Amino acid sequence: MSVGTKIVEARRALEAVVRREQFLSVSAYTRYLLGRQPDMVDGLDDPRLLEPERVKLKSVVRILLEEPPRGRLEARARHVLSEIANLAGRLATLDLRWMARALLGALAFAGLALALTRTAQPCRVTSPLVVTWRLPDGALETQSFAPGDTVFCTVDPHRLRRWIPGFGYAWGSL
Amino acid sequence: MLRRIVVTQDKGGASKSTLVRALAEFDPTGWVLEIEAHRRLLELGPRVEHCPVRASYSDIQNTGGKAARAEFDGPIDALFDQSRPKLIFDLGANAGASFFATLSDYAPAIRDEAIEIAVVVPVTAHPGAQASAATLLAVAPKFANMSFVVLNGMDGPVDDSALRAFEPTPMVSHFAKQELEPEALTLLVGGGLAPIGNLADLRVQRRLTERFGHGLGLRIARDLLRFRADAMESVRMAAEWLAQG
Repeated sequence: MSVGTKIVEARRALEAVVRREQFLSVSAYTRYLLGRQPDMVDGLDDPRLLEPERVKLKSVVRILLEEPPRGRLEARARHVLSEIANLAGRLATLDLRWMARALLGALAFAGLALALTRTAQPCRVTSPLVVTWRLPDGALETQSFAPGDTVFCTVDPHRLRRWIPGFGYAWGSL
Repeated sequence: MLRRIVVTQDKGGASKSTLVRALAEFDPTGWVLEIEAHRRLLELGPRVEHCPVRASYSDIQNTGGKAARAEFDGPIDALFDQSRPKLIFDLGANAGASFFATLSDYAPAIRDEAIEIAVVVPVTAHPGAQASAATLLAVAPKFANMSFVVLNGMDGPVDDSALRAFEPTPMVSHFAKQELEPEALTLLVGGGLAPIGNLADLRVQRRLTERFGHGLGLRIARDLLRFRADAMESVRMAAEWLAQG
């Protein structure tokens, strides 16, 4: 084997490890983005994260802690979309393109599912309504709405959602 | 035709043995002659012949005349050994100038036997390393066909303007400053470059990640593979010269 070939082999071995590190870092970061906020905070100490992903995760956590509830969801969605684009760019350099396509498909599906299940829309109440809320700690609370009031509905019109600052979401059923 | 590469630098800690190991990576069965007080290239196994020399420059100089030459009887025998067409000499710190003086004495015999010699001198920003390099490069043309200088950035940028002024002008390459995790450094000191090539194998990487965790394990693999690749790149021209013979 020639000297040049030996050096190319040595460089390729290095590049393979660097790509593997980047892949694991971006994968872990994306999982945190799609996961729960407390996991995201814990993820800042994840040793798999390389500096670029750690910095981005820090900025997402900062935004989520500062933004109002709807802003948080939008911020998270923005980051998920930008990460899908980012990951697509990085995976394009991998030899295992079939794996990249499968992962991209899974990410796109997960992003879509997240958007469908978590995005609540404002709905105007047209007739008197009594809602039983299940609070984040499991307790039940009843609330009455008059025509003209606004509630937030998920894709299922029988499920309502209410943000309680500093406490979390309450889920309501009719 | 016999070809020999002599890697030397009288200032210790200039990565001389690293460059020897990097040259050895290009030819896994090639011979290496280790001219040191104590054997260090243990991982290269039986292809290394150890020729013990006195540890300090003053000790070597104090032997004087014939005694000084006798110090290098083993390496000189190896130099003329027809059974080993290619040979890498790893010359310990403080032995370079003395060995070069001895080689100069043998210059006529080296020419008669058509033995081709190249010298590889690592140079750092340390004034001692620069002074030693200047001395070695001044003497080398008496017996050597080629000179290679590796600018080692471990102590900061190296000013090579004085070294480029030598005739014939040495071939210059670079060995960048390396940032290593402490665990990577421990593995490197313990095992040299030879086992690092195995890290391309995912099973070997997995053993690292099982031992150190995913993040640190992969960082160690990356540090070691970069170190090896950079070291090999820094001696590329010398390796090509040796391979051509």
